[in-house]
Amino acid sequence: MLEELIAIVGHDRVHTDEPFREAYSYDAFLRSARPDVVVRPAHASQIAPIVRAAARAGAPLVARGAGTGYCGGAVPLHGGLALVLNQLRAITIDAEAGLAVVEPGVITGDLQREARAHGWRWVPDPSSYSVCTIGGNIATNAGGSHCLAHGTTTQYVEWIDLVLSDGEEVRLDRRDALEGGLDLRAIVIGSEGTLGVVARAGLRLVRPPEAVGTVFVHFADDERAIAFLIDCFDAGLVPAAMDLNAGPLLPDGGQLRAEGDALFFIDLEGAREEVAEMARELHRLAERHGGRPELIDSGTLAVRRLGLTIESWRRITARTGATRYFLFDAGVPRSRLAESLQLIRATAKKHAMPVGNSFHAGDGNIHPTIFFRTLDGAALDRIMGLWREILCGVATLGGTISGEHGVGLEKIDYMQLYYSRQQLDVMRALQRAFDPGALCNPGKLIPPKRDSERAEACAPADDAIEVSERDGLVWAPASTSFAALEAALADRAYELAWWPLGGGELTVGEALLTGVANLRETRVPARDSVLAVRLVASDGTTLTLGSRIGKDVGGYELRKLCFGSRGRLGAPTHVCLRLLPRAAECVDYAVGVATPAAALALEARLRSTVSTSAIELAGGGARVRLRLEHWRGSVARRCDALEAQLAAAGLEWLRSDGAPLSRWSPRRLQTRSLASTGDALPLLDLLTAQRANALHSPGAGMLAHDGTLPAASPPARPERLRSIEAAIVHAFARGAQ
Amino acid sequence: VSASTAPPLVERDWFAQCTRCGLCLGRCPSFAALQVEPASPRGRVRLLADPQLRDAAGEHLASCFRCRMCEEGCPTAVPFGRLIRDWLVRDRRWSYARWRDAIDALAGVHGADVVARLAGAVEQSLAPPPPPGGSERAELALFCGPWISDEDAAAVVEARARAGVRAVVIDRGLAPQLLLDEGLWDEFVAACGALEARIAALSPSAAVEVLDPHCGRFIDEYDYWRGRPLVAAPRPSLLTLLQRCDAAARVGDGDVLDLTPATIGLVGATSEWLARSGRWVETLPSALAGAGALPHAEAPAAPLLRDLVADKRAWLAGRAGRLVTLDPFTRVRFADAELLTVPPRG
Repeated sequence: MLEELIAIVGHDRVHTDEPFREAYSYDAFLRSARPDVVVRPAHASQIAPIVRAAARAGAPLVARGAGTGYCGGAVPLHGGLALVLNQLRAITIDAEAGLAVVEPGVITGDLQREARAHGWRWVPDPSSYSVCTIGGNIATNAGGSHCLAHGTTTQYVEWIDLVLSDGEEVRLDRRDALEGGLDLRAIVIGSEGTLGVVARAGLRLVRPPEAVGTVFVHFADDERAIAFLIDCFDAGLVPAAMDLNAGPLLPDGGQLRAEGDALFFIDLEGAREEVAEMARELHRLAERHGGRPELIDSGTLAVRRLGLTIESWRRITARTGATRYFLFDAGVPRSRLAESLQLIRATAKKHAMPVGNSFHAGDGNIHPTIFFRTLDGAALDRIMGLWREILCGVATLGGTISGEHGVGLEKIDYMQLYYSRQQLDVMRALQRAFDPGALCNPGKLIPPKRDSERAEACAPADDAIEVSERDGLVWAPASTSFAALEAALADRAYELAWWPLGGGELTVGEALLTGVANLRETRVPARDSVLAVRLVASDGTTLTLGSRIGKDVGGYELRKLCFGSRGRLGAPTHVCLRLLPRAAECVDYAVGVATPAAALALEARLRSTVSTSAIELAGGGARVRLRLEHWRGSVARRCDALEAQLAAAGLEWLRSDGAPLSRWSPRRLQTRSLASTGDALPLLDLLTAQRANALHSPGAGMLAHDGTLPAASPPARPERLRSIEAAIVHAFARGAQ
Repeated sequence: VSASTAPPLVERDWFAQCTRCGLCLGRCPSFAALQVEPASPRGRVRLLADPQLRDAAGEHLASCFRCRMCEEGCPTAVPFGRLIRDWLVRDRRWSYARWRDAIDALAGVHGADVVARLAGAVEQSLAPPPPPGGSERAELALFCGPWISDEDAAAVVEARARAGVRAVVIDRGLAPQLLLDEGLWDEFVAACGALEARIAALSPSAAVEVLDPHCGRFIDEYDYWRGRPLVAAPRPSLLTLLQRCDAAARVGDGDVLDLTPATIGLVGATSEWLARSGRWVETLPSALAGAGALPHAEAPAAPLLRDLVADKRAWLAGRAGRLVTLDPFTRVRFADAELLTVPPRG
């Protein structure tokens, strides 16, 4: 194998000496293991041949970017190859379409900077953005501060070139699910390198907001801070980022002392009026809870948060003499944040360890950070005890094993606590389907089978619609129509994130199975508004996939497969959807244009100023539907600007204030209508939209009881992907037995 | 004097203190050039921790620029710089053979005047010390470092004279620090001896005044490596120095504080000072990291520090806030020397 590797990348990029092997044996997790060989490709095209050579030799392989993960994801547990990708750093930005094509070693911060230089924005911003790589971000479905409003990496990855464990390269595209396939792209994102190696990815960029308001709020204690947070969400005030430095907990003679303030880092984004109004509201709420808000230069949240966190850690070190720390993450529903902080406090006290927690509070994504001096027996027991008790406690709070760090090596033994035997079996089958020889990052994420794995919990039969403003979601039977959902949300501070391009009478289940696009795709792509799905597999067993948490990266994200699955995996009985704050003011426009091409040109021109658009083709001409909406404050200024632009272009328009012209496009128009997929993508091409609509017949394509694929599967999918999909479909049927 | 006279470094387990978070990677100019983990601060600490690996990894360890930028962003304050210096003075295979080589190596990074001053300072520091009770009597030994201009140094001497204190510039080059940085332990020890003798020759109770935090840092390093204080007289802490420079430079909210690449190792004091000041002052490495402006591998093996300085200037050009440097690359206005208080006399 060595000769082959040298032939591919050259002598100076293959290393077997001890210093190299040692230096690629670790990430930020406590455990490490040396690879046998370190290979550093200089070109993305070398990845496939390297993987092929490793496969021929039967050598396990771990792809690695910067090695900044906290879970041991980059640790070559079983030796073999460390495939170091940090020198694959090509970025190509299509400034017209707002797309970036990147190699896996691109540093997240570089992409942010590059996007900014072209007038766009790359949203995911993990705290390690200045060093971590996009490949790693994709492998863990990275989040960060601003995914509270904007979603995690998965929302922005359009396609992936994946090198499978035998060296075959396949393109996995967001649109696959609309063209007869399953959304395998969504499964690879967050798969921690266990399904193959990402050689290239196409990423969607968005426009930077017109205004950003950064507010820091000091609270005397965590309780008041959390009460303030809950009030914000109850009132429909959703910041773009809402991180909290909880007061560090220091053991003090059998007691526990909270050292210093709880400090919120909040970013408000939007139009100038929105940000100003939200800032005022935030100030009022903060003061009601005794908080001291402080308006900060906008756009400095990430740098300041990191700086102040490091400072706070150094203070903990100075006070306690504990110079090292172990940081881990987990997620709880926002409504249970207070309980999760109590849990951390109780365990910190019990084990008498200093614990910090600088975390993404808005997402319920806690980051307990245990400080210690040495890792000797007693200390290690206490650290592990604390860690275990928090992970177990989080499970009982309906939480997730990880909100952004992943599972890796660190939490693999806790997967059974969070996932049923059925779900784990589906994950195992899925992993085998991609990588039959288990060569890609073996020993991570999916635990070996244990007899004690629990069965999937019985889901209560429930026909009620449950709305939780606090968690920003609605749970509803799949047979509920969107119109009925909207009725249930009337008079609330929230509304649906997903307005399907099929009209209000479409049911949630239908829209999910057929992958109906979102009229507000600019804000949240339809599939990413689905937080959880309860599914009845073909044999009648129910699986609950996903959770009440917007940021949930435990295991393979099976819920994502449901979107556009046309019933092949089972029939959804309930769906949990994300909500967005209700627009305080909105104005809809219908703009007439002469040709579809003119419609596209208009959409491109206005992309940065309107958040929602649809283009309806009628006769030879087209009508472009635009919507200006503000969560807070008036849209008048932006309406004036838009109308001036339209007038200058010699266009005519209809305007409707207050209520949308028609939220749901009429059904008869649906087959000819075209949704904008966002301010960054070219419009969903007509073909795709038509196919999606043609496939729109509820229940069609349900998996037959003998487990065969429905005949309607389009033939165009590569054979390899079809066989992976067939294996997944079988696994869903089998897993539920 | 042999390298073995260097004090034992391991006060505590510095190596284990590294949590391997990797935040140092984005700050390290040599990693930016070489792009391999063994040549990163995190990798070097890992390799240094193991005696066998340490011996095999000289090339990676020696690729460190000794700029100590990694220390600023380290959440657990691993003293990367001290660890590398310790290794350099113990493994002479990788340190410079002669101080001239070391100075030449810096020529591409710093301006010619700075290099000339460094060379002069080293020569002077290695020259035999004046006999005790020589003609140069003074109460105050001034440390200026190589970056403070002659005029600024003279302004301080004058200001002290007006206050009735005779001051003498004792160091213009931080020569011992430079020698230590390059692993020239014997020369370091010799230069330190000469320095001690020169201070002693001023007066038996001479005090030391440090004009910029960089020199203050050196004196801390001196104390550490020599295992005793340079002078018995009390001298200002780094924190005090920063506050004094702040008074002169009047650092304001939103300003950017230049701590790189030569103001090395001020991390702890700066953090504390910033925390107490209640102002938001970005330090340049953080600002650069935030702007994504640290150089990466586009031009491997380029003279990176020079690029870094150019990057800094370019980045700052597009920014509203002022750049405030408490030493090297922008200077505190020492014309305001009156603002600097005279330290207590020993």
